Amino acid sequence: MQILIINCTQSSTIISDAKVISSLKEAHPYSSINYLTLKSNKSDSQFFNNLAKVHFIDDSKIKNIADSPLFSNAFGINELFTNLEPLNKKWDLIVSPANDELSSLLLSHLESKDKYGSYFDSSFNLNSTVKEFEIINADGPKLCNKKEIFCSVLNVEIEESTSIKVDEEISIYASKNFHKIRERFGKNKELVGVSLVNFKASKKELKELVVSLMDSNKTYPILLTDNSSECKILSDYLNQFFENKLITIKMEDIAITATLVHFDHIIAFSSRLFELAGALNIPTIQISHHIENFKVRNNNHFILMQDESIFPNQIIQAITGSKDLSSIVFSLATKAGTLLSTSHLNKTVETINFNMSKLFLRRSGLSDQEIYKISTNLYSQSQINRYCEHVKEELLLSTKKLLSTLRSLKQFRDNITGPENFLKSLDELLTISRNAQYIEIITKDFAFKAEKSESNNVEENLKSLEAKLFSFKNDLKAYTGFTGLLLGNLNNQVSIKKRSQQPQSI
Amino acid sequence: MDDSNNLLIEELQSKSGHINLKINGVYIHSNLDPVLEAQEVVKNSTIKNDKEFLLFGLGAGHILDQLLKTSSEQTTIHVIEPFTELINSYKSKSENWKKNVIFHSPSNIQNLFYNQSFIEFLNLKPSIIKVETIYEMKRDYFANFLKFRASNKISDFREILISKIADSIEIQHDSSTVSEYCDYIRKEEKHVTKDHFLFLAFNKITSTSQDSSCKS
Repeated sequence: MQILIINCTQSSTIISDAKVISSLKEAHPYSSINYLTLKSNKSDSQFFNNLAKVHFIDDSKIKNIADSPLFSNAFGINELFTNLEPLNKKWDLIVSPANDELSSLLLSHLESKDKYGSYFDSSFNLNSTVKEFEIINADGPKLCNKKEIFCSVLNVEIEESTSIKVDEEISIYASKNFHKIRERFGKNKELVGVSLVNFKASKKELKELVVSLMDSNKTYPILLTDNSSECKILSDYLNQFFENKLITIKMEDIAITATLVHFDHIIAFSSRLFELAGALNIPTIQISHHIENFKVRNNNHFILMQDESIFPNQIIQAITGSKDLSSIVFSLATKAGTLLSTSHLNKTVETINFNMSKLFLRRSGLSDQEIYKISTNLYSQSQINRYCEHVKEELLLSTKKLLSTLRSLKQFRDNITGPENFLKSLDELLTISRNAQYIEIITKDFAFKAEKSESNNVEENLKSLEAKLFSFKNDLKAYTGFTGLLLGNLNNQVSIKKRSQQPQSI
Repeated sequence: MDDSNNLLIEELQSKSGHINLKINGVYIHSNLDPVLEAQEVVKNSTIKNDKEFLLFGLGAGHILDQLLKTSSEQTTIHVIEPFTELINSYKSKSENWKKNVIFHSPSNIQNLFYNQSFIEFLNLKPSIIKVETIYEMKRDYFANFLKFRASNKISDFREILISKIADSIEIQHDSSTVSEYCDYIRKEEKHVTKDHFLFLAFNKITSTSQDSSCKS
């Protein structure tokens, strides 16, 4: 069986495909699995087990050609064609776990008996194996559990082991050294790898973090560095402060995985280490400046927002379990403007926006009361309240504009300004839909579908738009109904300040 | 080579005994000592990159010989000489050039930009050295080279495309850029084929890059 996996996301998140690959190999042991990614991901793709061959699109070369005033675009197109030529055969199965737009276009370009993920047909309509994929392609919310959805669609179990290459020789050597370290510092102490790669906090904060880990009777920090001068400066600074008592491990690419497996916890800024540790099932905390980076790789992984008030003490508390992690994450997330949910290290962290949206749209098949119960278990009342306030504002705005668009559609032929008014109104509705954050799961889906003109015939396009507008109206209505229910139930326990702004049902 | 009907190339011996050239009555090198002159030219040139050289004009090859003497085996030298006869004459007399020298003498200087490896060489920012008299005689020729900016209109690069891809684009789109063509595929194409998806993929990869009819 010839299988091709496409992932053209330009980041270390491709490492999370390791488990998808090993799951597929487990399900189809005699298959030949190929992988297509961007050449800029080459160093990350080297960690994959179970692959027959990795193919690359030379993205930086193609971009350089496009940017150079001397090169015609033809050279870039030829380069892409040449990169893809070895893949122009009939595959048994092509899958696109990331489902980014480029991967979907390539999935459409290549031929296969079966395709999983989103791809375009000859009418440029998007086809997907599951609904969530369409929404991702519509530039919707980042799906945290793509891997799980993907494996369930393919009907394969998620394989937790043997997904990442670990160099055996280096591993044996590392085992001996880590054994000595554990003997020296006490076997009951947890070894915490503090990665200095891409470290973005101040030296003072770094020092505080290491001091706290040293002072704790449960942890011992080990510095992880690469060959960069930034790492050297930071490790020199720390070693000077700790009088060279700190252990520093400089990790070459080939030794990264063999080293990481010996840690009990990893703290990292670098998303690459975060992804690798995730694939190796090592509990990891990634410290992030960017809200969009909030995501989870497996059940042991969290991303914390760097914040002066919590850094570094709460990280220590999170690791040592001396304080309920959920309160830390909630306080961080609330400050950051995004609500997260977790109750302890072994619970999944996901953005409330997406979870609530999924619940609202009844994707789970649960009743309203069951959804309400789950929501209140997952999130505090004040968080749900705050979320609903945002939802209400966006629903109100979208609903008003939707109704005025429907009105202008009815008046399309009434007078000479009819078409102009309708187009203006539709344009404003699309802008609102594209910018929505809290109800984006439906607005972006609508915007994506509405922007596609399917016919040259005005009448047909108007009919099609009308149907899409009414479908959008139904989605908004469902959303509004449940927000009302949720708020209604909550009103018994928590007062809602802006009651007058509650949207009327459509 | 152009102007071939009115071209008079004479080979002379300079006072130092080295070869000199006279083209339509103009001495190309110093008639006292062309080799010493070449040494001075190389010495006084601003050489930021000593691995890649681009020579505007060959003449009798004194500057090229001088560069070859002082350069390493890793050095690559491209020579643009508008008078093809000079290249043939030089090649028949010298063996040095066989190392790392590539000669170009296109009648239309823009044809050089159909050669991907040559453009890649230019992107390495080679040090440029001129044979001043040749450069002055063919000022427009070299100016066209220096002013060149690739066009992104399909008609202008159709012949560079791999034929299978070129054949998939209908002539009616010749005046479009790739970005405009992709807009057409997305919005108006009735039957989107696998070749169309290739263009859309290219457009996606380069979407952050500039796309106008002529690159700035």
